Amino acid sequence: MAFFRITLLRSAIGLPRRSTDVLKALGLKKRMATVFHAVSPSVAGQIMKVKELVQVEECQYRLTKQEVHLERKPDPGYYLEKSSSEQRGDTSL
Amino acid sequence: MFSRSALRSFASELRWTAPSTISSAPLQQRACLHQTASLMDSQQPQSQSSFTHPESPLSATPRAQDAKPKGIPPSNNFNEATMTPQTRADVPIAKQPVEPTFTSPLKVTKSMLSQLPHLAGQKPHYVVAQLHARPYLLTEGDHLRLPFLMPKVKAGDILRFNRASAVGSRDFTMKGTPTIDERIYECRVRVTGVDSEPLRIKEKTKRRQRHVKHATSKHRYTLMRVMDVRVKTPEELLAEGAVIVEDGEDASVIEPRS
Amino acid sequence: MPLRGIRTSTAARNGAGAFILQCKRLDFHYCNWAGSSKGMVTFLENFLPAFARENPQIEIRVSPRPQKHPLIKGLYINGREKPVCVRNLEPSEILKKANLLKEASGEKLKRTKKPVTSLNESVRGIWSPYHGDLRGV
Repeated sequence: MAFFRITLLRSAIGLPRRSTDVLKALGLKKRMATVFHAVSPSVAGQIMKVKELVQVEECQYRLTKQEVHLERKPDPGYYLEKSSSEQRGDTSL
Repeated sequence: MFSRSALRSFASELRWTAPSTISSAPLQQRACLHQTASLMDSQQPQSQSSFTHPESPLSATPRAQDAKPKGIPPSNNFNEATMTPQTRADVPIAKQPVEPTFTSPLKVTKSMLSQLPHLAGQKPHYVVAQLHARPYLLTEGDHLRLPFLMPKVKAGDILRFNRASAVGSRDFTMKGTPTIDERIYECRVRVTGVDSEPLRIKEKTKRRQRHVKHATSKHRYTLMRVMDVRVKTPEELLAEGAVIVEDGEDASVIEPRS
Repeated sequence: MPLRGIRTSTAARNGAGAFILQCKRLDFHYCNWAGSSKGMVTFLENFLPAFARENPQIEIRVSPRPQKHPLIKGLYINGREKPVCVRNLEPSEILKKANLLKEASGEKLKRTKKPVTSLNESVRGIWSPYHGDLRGV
């Protein structure tokens, strides 16, 4: 099963009403929002209406919102090596 | 973005094949989809289109089942082996500040190993540590006031910084692609306390109104002291079980100063 | 008068080697009569023993201060002190204030823009246009 992964890169402000409506139908409310739709002729037609505004990829799975977020989330870059209570325990021994 | 003609042909072919889809011939339609995709690719190889093509031909599942996703995809095992992250609380262990466990030994290229003694022998060292993808250039003994309050740490705790984009000395710099393997260097910091900024008062006004709202903020920041910045010598790396490999494309390299 | 060299002392870098908590003393003041001290009195009875046990490096003094609001005062190694008024606060809120004073550095609050302050010399030295190879533009 294949899905379109559609990301709104540019806003439809200043465009005809029809473009805004198509974005609404796709479920894209704000820039950088990502939605997944199963590949179908109707969705392809919708994408074509707003092709100047969106970025489209084809993927095999519908990702959850958190998964899309985690793709961008950077690593914390640190970890706790020794807590202060452990150190105190070491010195008392 | 698509070029106009490519997508138009894509959509028109979909339209052509739509009746056949209804009459239970999904395979044909899949084939068409795939064909148009590859056709697009050949038309504009230089374009910014990020239309990724699946490696294998698409599975020929009937159209009726497209609406509901079935099964848990095998690629989503980074949280638990069986769970898909659903809420903001579901963060895989790799993205949490947890001490890593290594499954494969450290791989060091030959050229790196030959140059590492120069870097390791020349003190002092600096490290460009990345915390939440923000760089901090640190040397030993530096005072660090993070621009945020680090959760779940107390004064006196010792932390290890394990994402570094560069480690270097006066004449040599090891650059990561994008980060250096954390087993090559050591960067320890000690949490020394929590600091606060003076109370900030922002006057919030609306037009044509005398009312002024005062919004206050007083953020807290974690204070730290860098305990040591050190690059391990080749002997140490080999003693810890590093494996020597041939030079590759995406390996970290040590560059002498030009 | 004989010429004297500049006397240098080691700059304090607490935490680089050994670590000493900057807060050395906490004073708890309360009033037995006033209602604003109600939470403070409960805190002293129920929370303070555990807090003191957890932080053996801090000297803790408890003293009455009649006809006044309750107060926690933190004294720091750098000689500064930090008073926090805890009138009408719940015991759990007072514990938060005590932890705040414990972890504070004792410095005057400042807004800083740079995260890193270093006493070390620059590792790679200062760039000079007269040294090193010529670089093509």
